[in-house]
Amino acid sequence: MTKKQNDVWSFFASMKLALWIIPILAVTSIIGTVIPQGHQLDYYIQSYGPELARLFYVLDFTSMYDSWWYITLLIIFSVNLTVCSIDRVPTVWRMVRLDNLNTTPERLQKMPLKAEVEVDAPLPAASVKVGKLLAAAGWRSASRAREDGSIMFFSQKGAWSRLGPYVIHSGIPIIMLGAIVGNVFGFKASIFFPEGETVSHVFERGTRLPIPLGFSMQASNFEITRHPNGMVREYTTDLRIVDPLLSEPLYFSLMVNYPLKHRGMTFYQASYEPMDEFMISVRNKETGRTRHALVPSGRQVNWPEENVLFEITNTLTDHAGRAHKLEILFSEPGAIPSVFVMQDEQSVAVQRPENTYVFFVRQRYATGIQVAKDPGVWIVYAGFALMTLGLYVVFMVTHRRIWAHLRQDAQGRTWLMLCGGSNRNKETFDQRFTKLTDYLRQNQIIKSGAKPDAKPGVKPGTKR
Amino acid sequence: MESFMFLNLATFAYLASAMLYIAILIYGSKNKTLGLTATLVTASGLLLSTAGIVLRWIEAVRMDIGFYAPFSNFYESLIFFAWCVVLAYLVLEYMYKNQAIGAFVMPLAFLIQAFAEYWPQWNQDIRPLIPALQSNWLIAHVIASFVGYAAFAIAFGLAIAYLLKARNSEKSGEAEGTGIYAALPSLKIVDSLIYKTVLFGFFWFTIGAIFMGAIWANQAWGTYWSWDPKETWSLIVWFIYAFLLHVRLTRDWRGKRIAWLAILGFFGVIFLYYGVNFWLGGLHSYV
Repeated sequence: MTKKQNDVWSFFASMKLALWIIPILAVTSIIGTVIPQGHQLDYYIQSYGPELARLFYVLDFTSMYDSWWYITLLIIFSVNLTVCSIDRVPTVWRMVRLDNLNTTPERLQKMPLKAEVEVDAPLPAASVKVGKLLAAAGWRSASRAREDGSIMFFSQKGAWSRLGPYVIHSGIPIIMLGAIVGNVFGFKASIFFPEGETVSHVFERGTRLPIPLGFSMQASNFEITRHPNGMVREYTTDLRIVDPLLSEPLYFSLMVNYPLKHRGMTFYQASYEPMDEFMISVRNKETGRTRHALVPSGRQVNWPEENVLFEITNTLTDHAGRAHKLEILFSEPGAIPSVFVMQDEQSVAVQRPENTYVFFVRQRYATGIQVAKDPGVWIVYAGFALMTLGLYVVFMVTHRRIWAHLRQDAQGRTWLMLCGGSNRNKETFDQRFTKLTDYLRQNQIIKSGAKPDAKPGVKPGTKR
Repeated sequence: MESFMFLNLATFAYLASAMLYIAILIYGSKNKTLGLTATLVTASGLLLSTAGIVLRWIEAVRMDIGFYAPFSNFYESLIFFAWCVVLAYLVLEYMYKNQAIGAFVMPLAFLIQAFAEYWPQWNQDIRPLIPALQSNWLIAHVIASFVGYAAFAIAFGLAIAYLLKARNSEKSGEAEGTGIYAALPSLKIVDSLIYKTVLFGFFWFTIGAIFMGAIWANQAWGTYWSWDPKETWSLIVWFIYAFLLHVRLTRDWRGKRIAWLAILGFFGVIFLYYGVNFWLGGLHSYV
């Protein structure tokens, strides 16, 4: 690496940068939640005055989350995080792979948890017993004879958990990659069309340019179900897809939370709107002859075969455009008309001098469908999974280590020094360590009461 | 509706509990009866609230209004927030056998519950859910998010306790403070508790609020992230707590600085929870 590359590397490998970039991102992110995003210039001039509006425009505050400076911050954040992790992982990896049997007895003396006790057996026999007892207590250990004739035992759990933070970190650039893949190879689009119609294009968000679907999609029916209080319970568009790649049409009932996946695209039920158009069907009750019509209110429909005419003369609609009451005129040409009020999706029998007709009316709706093609979404989810795994490891898995050093002193007595440490949850580890020493005592392998030092036994850890 | 009665009683139990813990802080923890009463009152408050929440769910199912979960509007989510805080506090009390912390957590739980019960802004009726909310993700996302919020709330209470105790300790010259402050766990333990509750909260907040929220958004709206104010603020809160964890782990920040960050983080949570919905709006404005 040249000197220059080295500088760039160490700039991005610095924790200092991370501790600056995180608060900067936190603070700048607020801007776009306070200033409404993505409106026209006029909107900002009206809301904030021309000077501020211009400033917002110059600084990209009006669509800040895809502005060059915010994206740059996100890139610095990701690169910093990646380089920081790559820089530190080898050290952590050495920690994971560390030959702990090489630890010197002097180092053990400095450990936070210690217990030294006499073993009632000569060294070789004691060694076998200690190994077995440690294994029985759940600490399967490795051992090695030292040059001074003493024996070092070591056992550890969850050493790999030291990599947890880096697993969390690795998820972030993967999520960013997924977002980039989605932006480059995917699109977000929508289409709004009346029930009954067929479309083969959708319109890209932002640009409003048509994107051909490669198949046709008909909203064969649109249905709203409501609660007794009038609130919308659910709404469904029945789709009929005719795709040259399929031998038969595909039918799907599209609902909120139940999207349709087809040809790498996902279709979402997003919205609906009542239209000023009504589907009328009139049936002669005697003959069963029926006439369908799709008309706006105020337009008269003639049915020459039956010599009748009808019209929705007036509607009572709410603010959303839903027709609650419809005023109908029904007559033969020149006769005295029947005028009545009915509700949407209601059947009314109309008695005329010659015949009785069943009159049914249903308001027409337009359905709003969002279309997304996002091949990056699984990469993003993989990033989520990695971060979740890493968080779980960091929160739940502790690196716990136990050393046991067995030696014979000048008088020929055998001493076992038990030491241990953990990188977190120290209180829990203290208890486990005490349990382990108690276990060894209970199995009478260790003489109780033997005290080689002034301060023997378990040194308590942090007291509550 | 019986659920209202239970939830109302829970409010009074939380109030009694808060006062009992303050009494313990003032008069010391030597009086065992007082200590036991405080714990029992808190536990019964939690049970009353649990009964209220479950009954409300049953009442909703009986109303036949389709998919429902008892944390689908602001009123219900506050009740559930308080429930999480109380449960987490009881676990903490059991683990650390110290009741003085209760004086800093239970008043918070009471305030949240009382805010739900008495603030005139909320419609407390059981109302059908809009179609976007009718998903099992509602249950998973909300529960996990509120576990995170509750942990952050407790870290906030602990941070207040830490700062008061540290100020008292500086003024009095006593390492662990005087009077009521001496009854609190040592500064070192409160500091480590703040860190642990923040780590616990961060775990649930990241998975529950951000990841599950994103996956659900992708399923309901067709995009896992749209820089909606709620999403952006969840990221801001996430950055604050990520900063706290990193300065502690890599710069060895302790004590007051961590306490102030835990307070800042909780203000972020309050804004994310309340401010975004009532001041900023956006896609997520229903809860």
